[in-house]
Amino acid sequence: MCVVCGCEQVVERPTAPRLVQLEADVLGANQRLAERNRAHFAAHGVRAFNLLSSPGSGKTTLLCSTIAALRQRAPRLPLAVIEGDQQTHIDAERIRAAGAPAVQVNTGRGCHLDARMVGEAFERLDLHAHAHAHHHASSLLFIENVGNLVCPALWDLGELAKVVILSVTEGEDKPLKYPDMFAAARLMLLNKTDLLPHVDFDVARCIALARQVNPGLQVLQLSATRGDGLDVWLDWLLQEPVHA
Amino acid sequence: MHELSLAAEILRLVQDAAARERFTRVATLRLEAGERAGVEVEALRFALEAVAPGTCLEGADIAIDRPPGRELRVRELLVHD
Repeated sequence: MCVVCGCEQVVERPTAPRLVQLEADVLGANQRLAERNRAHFAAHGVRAFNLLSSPGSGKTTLLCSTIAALRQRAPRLPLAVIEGDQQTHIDAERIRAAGAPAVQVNTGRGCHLDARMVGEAFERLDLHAHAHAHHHASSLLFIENVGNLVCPALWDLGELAKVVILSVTEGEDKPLKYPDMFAAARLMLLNKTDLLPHVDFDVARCIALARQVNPGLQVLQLSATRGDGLDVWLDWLLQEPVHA
Repeated sequence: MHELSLAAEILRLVQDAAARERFTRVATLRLEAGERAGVEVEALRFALEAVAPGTCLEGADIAIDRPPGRELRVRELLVHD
């Protein structure tokens, strides 16, 4: 009955909203998949590295040089690459031409790789089958993330370490401008050092700014095209333990 | 632009909660985005408004707390059955 006029009409009174507490981590689903990838990599003796940089820092060129140098130094070491780009298979083709198996992941409009994409890509690689055939085999997996210094910092892929690449043709203050990425990385590679005579780039200041953001950051300088510093980079890759 | 991915993930968490807690409409969505969570709050708000139409989030008020730290969480919802 209506409480105002006493008629028989049923009046629907709006109910007060109720509270639902969630306290849910937005990146929780990705984190669970990343931990699954991490366990999968460790079980197969795969050391996985997540390579991050802005577009044009020379990531793919660095990978091609790294693959060639590893073929010389550790010819029996299996290695593979997961290539992330918004569009095209160009980079995966460059990697295959350099002599390593590669799986291309196109993120479409997505600005980063996530743990699900990497988990699915890993299962398509021979590295995965190889590890099943050779128990406790050791191998290297490079994950080349989408060229972007912002978004990929948030998504754990299950890697052993994040490696951020900065080239000397970029600004030396990038670590301060994109602190999340430099804070998340274990190693910074300063690339294109062969161009130092031609550009206004203060190496010492760049490293100081990067360590201001991340005091524990390791730094190596190299030139992927000329090969300077590649041997130290290979030492680092081969010495990083499977378990972080 | 990772805020669009985050908005999609937030919508998924809310829709899972809607199925579990049996509600059809969200009046208020309260998020926590830490100062160091790597999230641009206005971009996240824009992205949430972009994914909301046709879902239980349509028309919801969005409140975003910004404590120190790196947490990015869906804290609570005010909902209608």
